[in-house]
Amino acid sequence: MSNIVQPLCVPSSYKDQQYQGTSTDLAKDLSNSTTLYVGNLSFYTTEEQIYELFSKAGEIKRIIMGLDKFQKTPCGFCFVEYYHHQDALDCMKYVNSTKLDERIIRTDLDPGYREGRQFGRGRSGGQVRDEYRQDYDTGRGGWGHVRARQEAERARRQKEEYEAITTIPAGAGEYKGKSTITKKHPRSEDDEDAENYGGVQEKVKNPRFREGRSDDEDEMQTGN
Amino acid sequence: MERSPDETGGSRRNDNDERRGNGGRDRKQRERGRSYSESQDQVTDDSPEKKLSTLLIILGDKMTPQEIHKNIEKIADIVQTEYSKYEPLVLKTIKNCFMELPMKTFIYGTLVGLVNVKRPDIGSAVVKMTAQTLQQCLNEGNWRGAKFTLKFFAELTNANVILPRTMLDIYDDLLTTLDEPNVKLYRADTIVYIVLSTLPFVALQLRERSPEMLDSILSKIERYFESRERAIAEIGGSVVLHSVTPYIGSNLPYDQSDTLDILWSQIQSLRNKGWECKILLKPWSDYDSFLVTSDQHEVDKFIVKEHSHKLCNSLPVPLFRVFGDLEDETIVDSYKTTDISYFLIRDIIDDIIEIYEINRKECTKYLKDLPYNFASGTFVEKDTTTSITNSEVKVKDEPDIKIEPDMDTFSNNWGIDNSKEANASSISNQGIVGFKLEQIIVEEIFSHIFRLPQPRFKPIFYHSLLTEICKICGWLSLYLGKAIGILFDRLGIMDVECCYRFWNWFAHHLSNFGFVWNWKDWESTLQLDPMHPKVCFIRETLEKTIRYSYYDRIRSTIPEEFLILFPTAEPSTNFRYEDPDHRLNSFATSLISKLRNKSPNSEIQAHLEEVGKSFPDLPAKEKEQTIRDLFVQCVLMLGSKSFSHVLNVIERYLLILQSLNETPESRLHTVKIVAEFWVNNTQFLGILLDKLLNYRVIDAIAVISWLFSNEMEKDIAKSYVWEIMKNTINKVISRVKQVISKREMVLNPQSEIGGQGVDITSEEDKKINTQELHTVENTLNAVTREQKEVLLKVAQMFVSLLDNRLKTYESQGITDAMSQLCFWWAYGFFKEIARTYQPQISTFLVTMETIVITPDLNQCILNVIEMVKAFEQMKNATIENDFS
Repeated sequence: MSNIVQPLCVPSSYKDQQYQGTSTDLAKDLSNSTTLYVGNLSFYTTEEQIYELFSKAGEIKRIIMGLDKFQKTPCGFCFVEYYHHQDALDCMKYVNSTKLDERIIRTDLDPGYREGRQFGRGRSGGQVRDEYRQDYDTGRGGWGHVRARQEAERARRQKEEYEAITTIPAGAGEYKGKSTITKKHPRSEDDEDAENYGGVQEKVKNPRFREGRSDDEDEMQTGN
Repeated sequence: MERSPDETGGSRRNDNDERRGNGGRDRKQRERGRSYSESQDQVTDDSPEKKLSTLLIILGDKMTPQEIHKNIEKIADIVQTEYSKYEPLVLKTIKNCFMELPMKTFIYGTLVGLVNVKRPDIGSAVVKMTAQTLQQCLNEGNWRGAKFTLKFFAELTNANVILPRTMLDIYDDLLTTLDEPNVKLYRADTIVYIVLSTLPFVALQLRERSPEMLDSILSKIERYFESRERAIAEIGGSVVLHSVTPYIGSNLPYDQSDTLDILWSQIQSLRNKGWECKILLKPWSDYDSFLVTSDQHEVDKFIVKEHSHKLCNSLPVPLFRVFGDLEDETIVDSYKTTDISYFLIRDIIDDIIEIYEINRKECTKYLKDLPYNFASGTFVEKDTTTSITNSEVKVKDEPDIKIEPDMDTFSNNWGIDNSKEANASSISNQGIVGFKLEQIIVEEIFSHIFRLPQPRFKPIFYHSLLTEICKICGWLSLYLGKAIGILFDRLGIMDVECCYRFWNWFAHHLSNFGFVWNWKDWESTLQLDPMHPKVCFIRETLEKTIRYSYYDRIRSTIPEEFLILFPTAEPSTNFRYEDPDHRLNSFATSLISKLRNKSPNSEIQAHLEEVGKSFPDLPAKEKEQTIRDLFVQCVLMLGSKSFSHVLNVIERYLLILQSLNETPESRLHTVKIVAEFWVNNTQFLGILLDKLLNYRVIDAIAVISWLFSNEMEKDIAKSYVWEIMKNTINKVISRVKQVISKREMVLNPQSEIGGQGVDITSEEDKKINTQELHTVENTLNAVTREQKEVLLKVAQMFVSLLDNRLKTYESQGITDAMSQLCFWWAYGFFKEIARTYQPQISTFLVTMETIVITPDLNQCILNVIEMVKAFEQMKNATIENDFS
């Protein structure tokens, strides 16, 4: 209908590596799909919160929460299935990249849920993106898994190796150089953030945080 | 440095596409995850075809009038040289431009005008294509498209591609519709609207070159409006108009007239001013001496085919305003609704919203850039004469075609801070009264949200659009905030359905902006009656925001004083058998563990029989009730963890549930059990009733009976009650619709395949078809009967509720029932139900009247039934053609 502007209700170029079928099959499945993949959810977002928002685009048939493969706890994605294709399209137009639980969520048309797809495919059990994520995300369990291990190691070393200073040094009396401007230490925002985060995720408490994060016992799983 | 919650990590991460997220690919994915509009701008296809069409599409975007001139000339040259090579592409792109970029029609009209001087063959082809487009729109009942085409013809007239005489002929062709014997009101109105709404663009030329013919067309329309007024008066049309106004009661802020009537008075006022419309840009006027040398082209006659009322708007649209006529001096209302400019701006905003419903991001962009499509000074605090872009359209031999001005500079210049203008500056040197674009956009979007009976699109579209605009254009938030304040103050004079839509939107909006609101401003509301619409608005907004978030989070966002409107406890279950002292506690505990262990249906059945046996003295009926209560509560308890949990347990034990709910009484009982169990979580209650209806454990009549039971009267002003009612009715109606479409498929199996192939159905197959058809017809009869029963029941319940109230008030000496808030809500919702389901109710209106109407029924209740009748009459109304 529209020739000039691209509608928002088109599927992304993502293809599930485990999808059984040709790209023609996929296109056909998507063209009458009633299912949406929903991403960037907080781990703490409930089915009912999802229901409240997504039912504004149409009646919901079912919601399948994405789970950590080992912990069996929500790991930040889900599938929402409508009764009608048009409702799924409307959801793409009206809900995609708006906020739910104070996070901007992303929706994508999906060829349809199949058993097994509800589990995270990351090595640590969650989604792959949470394996390598470099930023700290309270709603998704803090650091990404790899980074979390690094941070934990850093914390351990700091604790073990640091020796407290008892005498404060006075510093040199005079600086002999070209410039007399004392350059302030560029204390960036990121430093402060890191400080607030405490560097270690345990300090941040979310009221609905389900205790027990996935640890690193898994070695056999390969990412998609 | 402080960062707003929107700008913190969250939004950075959002661009991160987690589905493809995988270490090394991260960056690339981040790029790809960007918005569609952005990726669209990065034209990957750099074929000459793509370049040419892009040049046309972006022509005039964010350009000052001077830049527009320069660029039109350049593009005109390009079109002339490239046309022979790309003829179909050029024609198609021009069509797309005037059909999908109607805010820039004047640019495309002028462009074709310039091309036509040297290449009349191109002008002729464009006119031919435009004529075909118009006829196609008329055939399809695509009235908006027809309006856009007329607008393009108007600009082609200005650019001397067709004669004013030709334009008047086109108008005349359309207006012959008015001469049809007993033409339908909606049909005539539609035609008159598309003529009047495009006339301001071309009227000056028409008056100069063919004044007599213009006058004759206007007198025809004038006579039409006279007959129309008479016809509407005869069918009680004012009843319809007053039933679809967002503001009701006395002391209204302004006159909510029919917008078509207003358009006619705006046109007349424009005529009195000599057709001078100063807000329009007229690039063609600078080329007069050049354009005068061109050839003009003719068009064939146009025919307006018959259309069903579904393709037209058969109900009047009252003017909706938020701002204006206010005492608040900080809001400039320097414009009057009588000015055609006000119409033209709102009309183009309406067009943009309609066209770009598919992409709210693009929609926002075009709304924001509207000042570039009007004369300088049209909008206050925005001067489009100064250049904001150094770049221009580059001619074809230069490879890239970027004409992207610096967006940041632009939006900063246009910030709210600059808008604290003195009222004096709102009148520009050209003598145009400046409009506030922000105000009109907010007003127009709310007019869509509050449109009765239904908005054109799902309400969530408008919610997301407002969110998008607030995100992209911070300047709008100030006016949105003001609008919220004004609308909140008007809640007492708003239709209850609009109150509902308002808090529904507000809660969703807050969920997109960190639930930040200055509740303290509304502190005085806390003194009002708990049923006052303002109190209900706050209470319902809070209840809904909890659903989007969670109890403690929302509780932390509101001031202490407002806690009286906040639920006292978190949403929770109310499981009666939990009490260890309950006589059925042990039965319940073992039942739950059996259910949890997924014991087979037979085992559960046996367990329930055991329960029955333990009460040998209980009468059969009570025994049944005890078992039902125990079982349903245990199912709910086990499923209380989430929506999916409850669906699983219901599906597993569906047969038992159904066997326990075979009579109307039992179904009502189950509804009440669910309502009691989820009394502290109305969201779960709503979801469960909905799903139990789907699984056919309960039926619509049971839900309706419960909603009107005495214990529910206290919740009459609560959102969830009306949501459940509408949801239940919608379910029944959608079943009818589904069966009808199924019957269509049985009747025309070919249509599904889509081919007009040879009929290879054998006699055998045809027999099966009749068999199938018979079954479908039976189902259709059943679901239609249910629809009628349910709607009749709702009407009966409302009438008896209202009637009882009236009688009580009478005995108490209360004369003004509407002053009683309980009555105000109930009456308002009755009106809303009748208005929304009027098409269905009208099919059995006579039955309804005989059942519902009693001799001593109060007039205000009768008015609702009159309203249903008037709506139907309006749809079928005709106009006597004594005005030709």
